[in-house]
Amino acid sequence: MGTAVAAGVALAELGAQAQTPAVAPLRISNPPPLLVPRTELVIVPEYEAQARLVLGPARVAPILGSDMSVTNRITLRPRMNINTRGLDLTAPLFGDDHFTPIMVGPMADQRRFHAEGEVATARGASAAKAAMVVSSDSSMPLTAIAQATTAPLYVQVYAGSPKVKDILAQASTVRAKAVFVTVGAGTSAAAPATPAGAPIDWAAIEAVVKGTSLPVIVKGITRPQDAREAVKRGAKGVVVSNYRGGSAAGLTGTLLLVAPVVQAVGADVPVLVDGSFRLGTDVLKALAFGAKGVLIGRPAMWGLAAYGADGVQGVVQRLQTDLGRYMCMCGLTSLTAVNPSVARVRAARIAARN
Amino acid sequence: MGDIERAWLTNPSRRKALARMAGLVAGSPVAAAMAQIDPHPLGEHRRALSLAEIQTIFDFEPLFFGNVSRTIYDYSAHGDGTEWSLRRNRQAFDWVDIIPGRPAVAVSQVDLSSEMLGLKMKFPIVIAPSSLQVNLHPDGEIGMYRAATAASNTMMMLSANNQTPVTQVAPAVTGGTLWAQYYAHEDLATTQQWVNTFNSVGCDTVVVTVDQQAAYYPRTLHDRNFGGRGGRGAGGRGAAAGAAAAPPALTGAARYGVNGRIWYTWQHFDALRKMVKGQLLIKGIMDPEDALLSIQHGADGIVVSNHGGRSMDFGPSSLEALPEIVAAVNGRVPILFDSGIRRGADCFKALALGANAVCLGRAARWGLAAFGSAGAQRAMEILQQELVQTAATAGCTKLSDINKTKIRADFA
Ligand SMILES: Cc1cc2nc3c(=O)[nH]c(=O)nc-3n(C[C@H](O)[C@H](O)[C@H](O)COP(=O)(O)O)c2cc1C
Repeated sequence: MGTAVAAGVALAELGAQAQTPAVAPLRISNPPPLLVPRTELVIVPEYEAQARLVLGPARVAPILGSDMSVTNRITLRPRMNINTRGLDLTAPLFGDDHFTPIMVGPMADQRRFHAEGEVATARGASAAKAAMVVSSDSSMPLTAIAQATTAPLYVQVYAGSPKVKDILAQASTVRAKAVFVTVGAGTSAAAPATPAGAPIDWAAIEAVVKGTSLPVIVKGITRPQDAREAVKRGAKGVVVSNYRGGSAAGLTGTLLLVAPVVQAVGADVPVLVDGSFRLGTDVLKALAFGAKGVLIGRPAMWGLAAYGADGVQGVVQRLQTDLGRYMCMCGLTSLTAVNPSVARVRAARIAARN
Repeated sequence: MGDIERAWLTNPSRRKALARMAGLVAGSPVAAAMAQIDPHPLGEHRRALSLAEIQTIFDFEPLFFGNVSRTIYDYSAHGDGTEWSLRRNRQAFDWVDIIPGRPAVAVSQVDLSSEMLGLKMKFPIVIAPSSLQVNLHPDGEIGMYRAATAASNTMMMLSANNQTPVTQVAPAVTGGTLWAQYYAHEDLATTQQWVNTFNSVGCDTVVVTVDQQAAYYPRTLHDRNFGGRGGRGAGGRGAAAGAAAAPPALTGAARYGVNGRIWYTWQHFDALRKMVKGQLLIKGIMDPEDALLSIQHGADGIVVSNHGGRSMDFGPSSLEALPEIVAAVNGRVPILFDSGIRRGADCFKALALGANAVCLGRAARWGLAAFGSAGAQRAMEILQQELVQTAATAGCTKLSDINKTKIRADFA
């Protein structure tokens, strides 16, 4: 067996000694990672790997990971022989007819992921005709973001934050269509999240409601009684959200929290949801539980990091198309046709043998 | 053997290193000398199973992989979306336990013959319609039909997306039974032409497939990293590129990049029902209400199927959908089952849950791709034998013995 090695060495030496220009030098090092062309990506989770390539392990860390444990035990109900050519995903929300019920949620400091930050996100979301919620901890001026936006624009602020007054003023300047107030997450993106179960600062929410003529939506609701209280204090909608990935805090995914909240606030108050929405099927499940809209977070950042505005557009459009595809396969032509029988929660199981 | 040498011999990059070295000495007299010593320096250390060594259906799969291009493999192997339902099709069989017979019976006592829709079957196993079989092996659809007929007269459904037309397949084998699978065409005149063609070769039983309305299965990156970029478009429908593909003036589903067979209606099914003088089965039913509608609209039989995981990701597995459909149909029409069958025990479980027969998709395709017609025949015979063996172990001597009392199912 030693001969194979010996022969290898001998041949390498031969090549070196020959010194003919036609012989290419041996390259040992790996070439730098190449991004896959955006249009080659098939499902949204594939964007995550591309973001990792661009950002490297440290910078990608804040946007890694998904909690699919709940969605992975919910099946959808396929129906046949129903013509769905007239599919209409129009979602009326806060005075606008949205192209679909999918919007880009608030995420702080997006220049961490792309040089153009929120402006690129806005351009991408608008190219996909999707609304965007701008974080109060944005890394770009709200006016610049608004200029890049053609779809409805919303602003977000933390309940009790010293920025509230300033953000509300800016919101009316840029003609934002609603204000999202985040609860349960401290007063800024950098601040520690409020401990789970801590009471919500309702006075802070009332202050926002009083401080603006725009509809106020409370984001960060996990319990039906909190949703009811938010509406009592003037909220025009709620977002079921367990902020920064409930999995770390031992909370379950948000999907199963939607139905009780919808029941608590009634059909007239739109309930939105976010947290680990990665597939069109995830969105359809939320709608089946009664949600009127879904916010996507990390996937939009994967797209942004890897491909800028194009990537955000690609992520949103993939979700829009897949929501439409799966609605067609469930025989549903409009959001009003979606009902609880579309989704079915199955037993949690240990991975099977084969 | 020293560590360095061992690493050299076993490292996966050895092939690359060898290839580089070949490049290094290319054009040199040394390369020419090496080529004369060993024209195939790589790969001689592998040996594939021969047909005689095949023990289970799974043995065929890597041979299939090795025999076809990556594009053809991907097209056959994969499913819709994240393939959650494709995986669940297999997992669901683990949620059913077979209760050992008290007592077990001898294999020689087992006779699983039956009659369904005028079809006399020695075993309740038939061949599902699956497309493009010449791609798998030059024997193609005719080879599959020959295999089926040789394997105790197994009925075969010929896919509408075949590479050998029914007019050639049907007469190629004497004594066989061929049913024709059909995808609806919106234009009824075209449908009539298809039905006329089926009739002209004696294919009087038609199976119309109604699922997979907006499915696609372009390959994910993970797959394509191994196989280049050939996967997209191979059978894909819907909008692989997302809504971006939609020019602005579109209306309805097309606005969202959603296309495909989303126009299917029961009215169209009714029209087809009138055209087909023989038996008409409906394939792709996954819901009890659709099963009842199928009967109302005159279907003679139902194929419970999620198209082998190629129809709707995050739909249930076929197996977990089966019991509720069986209950709703309540014996009014026969129920065929497919998606995920790889073992005789799988056949047993589906039959025990109420299917009248099971259909083989990939199991038969793997056999064909691995060894042509002989391989497909062997695949069918393996499953027939395994089913008989399972029935014997569970104490069943006839098909009607294979029922709910022989299993414990947990589909919560
Ligand atoms: C590559 C491939 C092609 C198929 N083509 C068709 C087809 O043309 N018509 C059809 O009705 N079903 C088609 N099917 C679905 C099969 O009839 C069957 O439902 C499925 O393969 C069963 O699942 P299994 O592969 O796990 O056995 C196809 C399946 C595969 C894997």
